[in-house]
Amino acid sequence: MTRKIKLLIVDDEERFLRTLAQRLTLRDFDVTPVGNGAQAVEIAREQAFDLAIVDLKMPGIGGEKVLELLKKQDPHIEVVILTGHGTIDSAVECTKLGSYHYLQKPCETEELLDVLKNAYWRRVQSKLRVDEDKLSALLDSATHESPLSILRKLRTLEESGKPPEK
Amino acid sequence: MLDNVSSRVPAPGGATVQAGPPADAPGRTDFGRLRSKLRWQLLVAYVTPLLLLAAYFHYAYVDMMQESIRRHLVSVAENQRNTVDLFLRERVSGVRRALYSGMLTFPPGPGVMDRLLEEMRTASRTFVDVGLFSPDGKLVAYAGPETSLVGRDYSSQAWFTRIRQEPHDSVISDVYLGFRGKPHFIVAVRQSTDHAGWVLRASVDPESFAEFVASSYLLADAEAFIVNVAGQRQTLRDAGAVASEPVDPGSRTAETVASESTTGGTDYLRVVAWLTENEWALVVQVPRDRAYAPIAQTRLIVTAIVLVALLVIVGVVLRSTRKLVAQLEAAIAAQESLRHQLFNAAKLASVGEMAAGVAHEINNPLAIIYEEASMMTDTLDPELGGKPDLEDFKERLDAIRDAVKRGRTITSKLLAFARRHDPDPEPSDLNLLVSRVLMVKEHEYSLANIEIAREFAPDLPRVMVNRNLLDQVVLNLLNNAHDAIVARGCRGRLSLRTTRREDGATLEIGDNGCGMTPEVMAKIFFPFFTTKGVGKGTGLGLSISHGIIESFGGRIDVRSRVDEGSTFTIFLPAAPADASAGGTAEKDGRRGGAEVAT
Repeated sequence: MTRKIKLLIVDDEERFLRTLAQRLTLRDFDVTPVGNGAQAVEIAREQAFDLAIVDLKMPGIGGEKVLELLKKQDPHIEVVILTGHGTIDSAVECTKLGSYHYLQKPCETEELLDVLKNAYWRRVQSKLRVDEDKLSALLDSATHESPLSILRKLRTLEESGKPPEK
Repeated sequence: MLDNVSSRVPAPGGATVQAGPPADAPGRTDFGRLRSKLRWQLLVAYVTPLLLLAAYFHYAYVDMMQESIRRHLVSVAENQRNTVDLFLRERVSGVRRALYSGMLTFPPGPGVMDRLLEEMRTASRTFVDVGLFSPDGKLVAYAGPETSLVGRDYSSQAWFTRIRQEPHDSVISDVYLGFRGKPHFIVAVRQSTDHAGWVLRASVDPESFAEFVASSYLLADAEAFIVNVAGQRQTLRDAGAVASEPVDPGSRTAETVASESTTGGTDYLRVVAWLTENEWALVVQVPRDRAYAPIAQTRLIVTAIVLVALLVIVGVVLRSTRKLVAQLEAAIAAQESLRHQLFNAAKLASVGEMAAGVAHEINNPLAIIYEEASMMTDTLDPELGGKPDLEDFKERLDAIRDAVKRGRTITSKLLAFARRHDPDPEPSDLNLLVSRVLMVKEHEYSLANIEIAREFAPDLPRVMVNRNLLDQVVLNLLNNAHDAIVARGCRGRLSLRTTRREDGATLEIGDNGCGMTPEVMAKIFFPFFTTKGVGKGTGLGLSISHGIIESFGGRIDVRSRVDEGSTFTIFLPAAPADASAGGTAEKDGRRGGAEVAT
């Protein structure tokens, strides 16, 4: 069974958060809804997410800060901003901070799914590239090792995303 | 809720800028008053010195001229007096010469007196006759026209009594009629040597004397005559009027006195000079108006000049004030129109700012509606494996209804806020107005983590404001406070406080934002002055706010310190006691309250 895409949704609009989470769950996302920025950063520290949908205007830590912290913790996470009122200034700011896309509420489901698909595509691409790099590095370093040893290392790499210790 | 937070804006040392109402800008009807006020002031300023100068010079000139005319008259009179004295002295010495000449015998023989008279008349034609009196007063010998007088007894005549008693040996009589019944005066000399007591008397023709007295005056219209102690005239130009009105010469004095007096209904400038030879005084008099004619003429000329100058001044003042006030009127109209344009520009700007905030507030409920509706569609979609659940539907429909209500609340608030009629100030509840504006911004503040401290005095008097305009001012100040707090980047605190004042109410809006330097503070009420970035502030908000508050008869002040915060204080005058409470205000007030509840 294929692994579900892990999606973090951060929004202070409780009703919106709940329904959007339900709808994306129906569409086979592994959704974690979070009501504020601080909690979102905390959860993302404990578990890795593929994608995140983040609101901008929130009490406490605002959307820009959440975006910045998420990207800092995991450079491969792709973040989509979904805000009630977008401005060019905040869009530029978010793009600089590394957001994948910038959407305005209310947003068509198809459009949102399209953006999420593209975001995940980019994540896979960048992740694959990194994995390839790691693989060839592993192979280079293990030229004189036994085939069994190399196989064990490859399996570890596949599971954890990190090359095994020598 | 925070406590009173106004104390965090330091009063001591904290700079304060006050933007009180500027000098009165006159309304259309005031220009007439201004014009006439200006005219009167200018006229008084120009005319008063002119009149004072003219009056001063006129009176100084009149004094000088009168003095000079009097002196002239006095000198004329003194000269004439000396001449008359000389005349009389000569008459006395003529008689004396005749008396002591060897020609006369006592009593004289026939023909002696005629020769004597002829001799005397050779010296002076004024002698009319000559008579010799014995010591007992009898006219012994006579030569002249009145031969019938010979033999008459003169011992009881006044002049004869005087010459017998006097220490002097000569007498000049007043003019009298005497035995001959004609006006004349006599010059008599008493022998005091070998024929002691004999008296030679000559009578003088009064007309030629009068002519002589009146002859040499130098002043046009001047009249000269002799009066005795009693003031009776001794000389007359038109003979026979001895009984004309007496002229009081005053008591005898060595000084020549000039005075003004009225005789026979005419004002005279009169000079009295006493003779030394007799108890007579020379009077020189000129009708006052004739004497002072040069002054009157000068006065006429000065008056004409002053009048012309006055006309010129009045003309110039009228013209220049009309022009000046017209220019002022045009300038004020232009300023008014500019202010109006600025006001509209700021209104548009604030509508734009608000639209941005409102978009956020409306898009959120719209997003909920969209998601709920989509979720219901999802549950109906077998592909997504959904199973229709009526309870779930009901719950979602409720959520949609709630979101619609939320959107409607915002739009109705926006409409209430943006309403642009009722331009006249009306008695309004300041607390209610501030709460209403605050509601619009509340969510934005909570998003920016700004705490709001409210301290509204419960017993505020109603203030005379146009609610839409005041909303605009408060919104503007709240926006500025928000921006200042965000700029400082600290935990924001906003305090709103209303206070009752004796003649109105004040609203204080304080923040703990970045504050202002005194230089910035000095300029904040200027149009187009802004500290915000390009495209973020129009620089019109505070200047317009200032104009609005001023139009309510209020005042807006600011206190600020860099990195500590700013406090704007608005004073608004209380509505007059007789102003209607404003039914719409009450209605709006209740509706506003209902909105707070929802």
